[in-house]
Parts: sequence; structure tokens; C-alpha cells
Amino acid sequence: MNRPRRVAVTAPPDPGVRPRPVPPRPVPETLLDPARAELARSTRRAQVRRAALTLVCGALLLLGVPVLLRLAPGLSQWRPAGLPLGWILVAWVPYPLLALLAWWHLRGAERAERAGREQPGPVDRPAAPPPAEPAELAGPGSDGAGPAGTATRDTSDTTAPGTHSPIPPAAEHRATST
Amino acid sequence: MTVAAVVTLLFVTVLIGARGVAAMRTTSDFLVASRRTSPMLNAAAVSGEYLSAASFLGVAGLVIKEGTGALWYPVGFTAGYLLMLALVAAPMRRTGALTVPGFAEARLGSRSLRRFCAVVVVVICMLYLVPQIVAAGQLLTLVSGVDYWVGVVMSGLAVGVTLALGGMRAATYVQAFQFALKLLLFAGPAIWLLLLAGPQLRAEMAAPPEFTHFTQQTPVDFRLDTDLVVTEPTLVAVDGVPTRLAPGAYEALADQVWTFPAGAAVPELGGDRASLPVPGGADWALPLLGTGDAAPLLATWSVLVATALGTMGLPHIIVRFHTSPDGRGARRTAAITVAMLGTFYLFTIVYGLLGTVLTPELYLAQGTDTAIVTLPGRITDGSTASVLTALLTAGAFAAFLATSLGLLLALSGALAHDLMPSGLRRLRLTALASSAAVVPAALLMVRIDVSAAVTSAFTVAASTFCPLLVLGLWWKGLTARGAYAGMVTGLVASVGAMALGALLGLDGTVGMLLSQPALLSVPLAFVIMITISWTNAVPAWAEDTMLRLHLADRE
Repeated sequence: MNRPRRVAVTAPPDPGVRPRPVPPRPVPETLLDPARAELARSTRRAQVRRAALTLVCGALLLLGVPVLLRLAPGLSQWRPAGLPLGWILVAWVPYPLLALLAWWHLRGAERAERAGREQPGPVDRPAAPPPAEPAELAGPGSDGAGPAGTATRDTSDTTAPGTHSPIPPAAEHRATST
Repeated sequence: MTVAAVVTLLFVTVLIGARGVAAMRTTSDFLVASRRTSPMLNAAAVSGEYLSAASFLGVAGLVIKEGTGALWYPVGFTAGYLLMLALVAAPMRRTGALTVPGFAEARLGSRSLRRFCAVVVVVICMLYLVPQIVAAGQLLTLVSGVDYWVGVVMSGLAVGVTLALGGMRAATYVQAFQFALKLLLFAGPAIWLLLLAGPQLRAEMAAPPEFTHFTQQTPVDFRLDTDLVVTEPTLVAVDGVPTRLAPGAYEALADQVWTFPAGAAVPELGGDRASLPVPGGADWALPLLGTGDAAPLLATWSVLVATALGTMGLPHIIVRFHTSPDGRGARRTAAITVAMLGTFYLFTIVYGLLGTVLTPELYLAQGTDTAIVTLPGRITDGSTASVLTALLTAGAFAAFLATSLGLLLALSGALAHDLMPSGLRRLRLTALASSAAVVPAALLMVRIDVSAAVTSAFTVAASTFCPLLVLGLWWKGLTARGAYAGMVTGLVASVGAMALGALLGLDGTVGMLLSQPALLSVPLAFVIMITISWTNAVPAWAEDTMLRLHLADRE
């Protein structure tokens, strides 16, 4: 098995390894650029609609079939192919439907996300100028030189570069902004 | 042969685990395999980790014991990943936090909340882990005749050592391998047994005869103390001693063997098991749970809610999604997992129906959990039967191992990472120490009901972490105090109701809701979490923290 190139990421701060004074919250006022925040809001709304639709379909399937079996016991005893229909409805029918629903949701969710990405969003900056590295590591509970704090570059991270989440465990710290 | 199969499996598990050691350097490497796993591999690993003894053995056993309604359990287990896909996978991955407690602190900024979450992780892991090890011991006792403690110690050791050596990186390969293995060892024997069964047995499977009389001389090996109600005078050999039983109530003691003659009437179950449907009867054939005087619809819904919502709150599954490189990868992982699990569960009904036709007496003996491995011997004999039994045992053992590995990781993560400050060395030691702690617990709790303990882990997860994750990921208004109050409520309501249900042993709808409280405890936790959050001021950074989780991943 050929091993993919490895990219090290740091451990999140371990609470209490090297206790530091916790700076008072709240941290910065706005981390997201207003335009990007708006984009995030609309993406989230699209995803919520999408998820609601999927969940309603899933709930109709999962909670509805028992109702059907309860109200029409005769239906569950009918044997269209040797086995009672009720057993087929429980043992086999839900799985392809769930997989189909999952595939449909995945497509929709990725489309909503692509729509969000296509607009060339400005790179978000903190309201204040980007803090120098030591400052970035000084969040509450943060411990930049933790047991694993040597290699700190993770290109696959998703929090925007140059910003830091208000609470450090959310962000993987990087030595260089990409 | 069976022992050889299990030993080979253990060996391969440790070997694959050791592969991961060389490259492992940091705590993050240990916990989440440096986040480089592809969706397909990761989905196989998720499925491998998720398919525990409850899926491999338990559901088929439940079909014998509780009727075809038990087939709703795996539907709920699979639907859990639809919820994961729609609500949790992508934004949870984007938090960058490694564990649920880490997420709680990252999103809500409360150190004490993190610690409380770690305590909940420990509760869920123990409820889930101990029965896994117990089941491993029972299985080995049954198939190879080794002592119970040998099986328990063997499985505890293998899991602890693999984890301490390789961590999650190892676990990713181990779990993916184990999923392929389990699917093969579940589907293959199912098809093989169907072919061996012959037309008459297959016809009986489609309509199992009601289990009212023993069709042949049948030894019933009671696993636990069991209340029986004998309905007509019966000559029974109790441990070889012929005994004439007049109609009335009796108690069979654990490990006694009662041999019933052919044609004797099957005794009814007494005590708290009196409401179980007779295998093959009309109640049994109606595919709803909780037949009898308990409301079947509510019982079925409650199990569906617990299993589907509990899945997203299982700490050993959540951590798995962090091995995907980004939110999109995590989402794809969840979607593929739905299909993989569905494929596996298609074969459950084969074992359930075969077991009901061939081994209905296990319903008396409280030994339905081991029905699957006894089936080959009932259909055929000689080497074919022992090959099939060995394959199924290896698969079941793979199921114990894979799940235990993930649970132990989550458990040691919570202990070493959240509750105590430490680095990698300590995390490894914690993995060993936790497995050492679980083994004596499993030795003590030989008598617990394996499937009940596993479902209770789902219920607790659904009542605590499910609201935390759903509200934390999608609602800016959630506050630390609200989350705290909601999770405490959910934990107390679910654990309290189940403990009360076990103590009182009530029948009917109330008893059902006490032993299966998800239908009430989950909405309660949501309501408390939302109302308490409303009474608090939301920090200025909260909306930003939440919104960030929904931004598309950067290319």
C-alpha cells in the first residue's frame, strides 16, 4: 500500500498542560468579513432548507411505515412474493430508500455549497490587523508549544487563514498563514 | 478450527495496528490519523467501527425473542447516518475540534462544559464497551469451551495493545479491514445457509410455525435464572435427572439444562419476560415492537428515535469524521456509510428467520444472542458446519473488536485529553489502563443483558449529545448554560427512567416508556436547552463561530 504524503497537524491545546492566564472574553468583534458572513448566512439557510426536506422525508418513511403496519395489519400479512409484505417493508425496503435519500441530500448540499463558493468572496480579515504569531497563540486555553506543537501547517484546514476562532480549540494553529 | 479463526483474527488486528506506529508522532496523529483519510476508506472504517455485536449477533437474536419488529433496530442504526449526513458531518468536521467535549468548548467557550461532556463520554463508552467485552467472553465460552475469563482477557488485551501501539491511524485501517471482513462473514454464510437449507426449510422460514410444542427432544441450556409457567404435566430431565413437573410456576437456574421430550408443550415465560411474544405467533409476526399491552407504535417509534438520534451522539463515531480532510469529505463519508450499512443489514432477516425456525428454544434459555453461531450445526453437520461456525464466530469477534477499539479510543481520549492534562505517552497509557479497567467490569457483569445495555448507550447519547450537536451547529443562540442544563436533564431523564424501569419492572405503556425513554427524554433535553439559552445573553462571537462552520471548504 503506498502511503499518501503526510501532513502533520497540531494537537488542540490540552487544558492545563501549561496553564496560562486566560484573557477575558469576548475576543475580537468581527472575525468574518461582512460579505463572507452574509455568504455564510445564505449558505446556512440553504443547507437548513435542504436538511429539513431530507429529514421530513426520512421521518415520513421511518415513522410512517409503523403507522401503516399498525392501521392495516392485513396489509402486512399479504404475501406478494412468498414473504409477508410487512417483513419486506421492514427488512429490505428502507435501506435502498435511505441510501437514495442520502445520495440526493449529498448532491443538494454540495450544490448549495458550490453556489456559495462561486462568488469570489473576499479573503476575510479580522477587524483588527492580523495579530502576530505569539498573539495568535495566546487565546484562552491555548498552548502553542504543546506536546505536538512543532509542525503546524495544515493546508486542509477549513477555518479561514489569517483569522482565529474566538476559542482556540476550534482552530488549528498554523505557523504560517497560507 | 474456531479458536484458530479467532486467533488469526487477533493476530491480523495487532499486525495492522502495528503498521501505524512508525509514522505516529503527535496526539492529533493518535486521535485522528492526521486527517488524510478518503471518504470511501473512512466510510468503511465508520461502518466497521459501528457494526458491533449488537448488529452482528444481537438483532437476529432479538428477532427470535421480540419478533420481526426487532428489524426496526438496524433501520434506526442506518437512519442515524442520514441524520449525521444532513445535520452533523460537515459543520462538525469544520470545527476542527477532535472530540465532542472539544467541540463543546470550541463552540461555547466553557471549560467546565468540556469536562461535563467528557463525563458523559465516559458514561456512554462504559455502557457500550462493557457489554461488548461480555459478549466476546460468552461467544468464546459457547463455541470453544474455554473459560469465560479467557475470552474476556483475550479481547481486552488485543484491543488495548492495538490501540496503545497504533492509535486511530491504526484503527482506520483496522476498522476498514474489519468492515470488509464482517460484510463477507455475514453475507457469505447467510447465502450459504440458505442454499443448504433446502426447499422445505425455506418454506418454513416464510411462515415459522408457532413455538407451542417441542418437535423433537430438546435440551434447553439456561444462561440466566428464568421464570417458567408449565401449562401441562411434563416429564423433564433437569441436568439429566428425570423430573415430573405439574402445571405451575417454576424457576430454572442459570446453567441448568432442562431436556424436554418431543411433543411436550413449551412452557410460558413468567416474571418480567411474560410479555414477550411466542416465536412464530401472530404477535411475533407483526413487524412492530412492544406487542402485547404496551403500545406497539410508541415502542417502535421510541426505538427508532433512540437509535437514529443516538448514532450522532456516539463519541467514538463522531471522532471518526475528523479523519476526513475537510467538511465535504466528512459529508461524503456519511453518505457512503448509509449505503454500506444498508448492504450489511439486508442479510439480518435471514438469520432472524432461520433462528426462529431452528432454535426457538433459545427464547426460553435467554441465549438468543448466540443463535447465529448455533445455526450451522442445525442445518448441516460435519466439516461444513464447523467451517460456517468458525466463519461466523470470526465475524462476530471482529465486530466486538472493531467497536471496542473505537470505544476505548473515545474513552481514553476523554480521560487523558479532557479530564486530565497529558501528552501522547499518557494517552497510550490511558488506553491500556482503560482496557485493564473494563476487563474486571466485564468479568463481574456476566449476567447483564447485552442488547439492553447497548440500546441504553444509544438512548443516553440521543438525550445528551444529539441536542448539543444539532443546536450548537445550527443555532447561534445556544449558550453554555443552556447546553449544560439540557445535557444534565437528558442524562438524568434517560438514565433515571431506565434505572426506574429496571427496578419497577412495570408492564404496559408506562413500563415501555421507562425502559425506552428516548421518545420523551430527547425532546425534553431539546426544550430545556433552548429555553435556558433564551434566558442568557448570547456572546457577540457566537454567531460568527457558528456561521464559519457552514462556509464552503477552501480548495
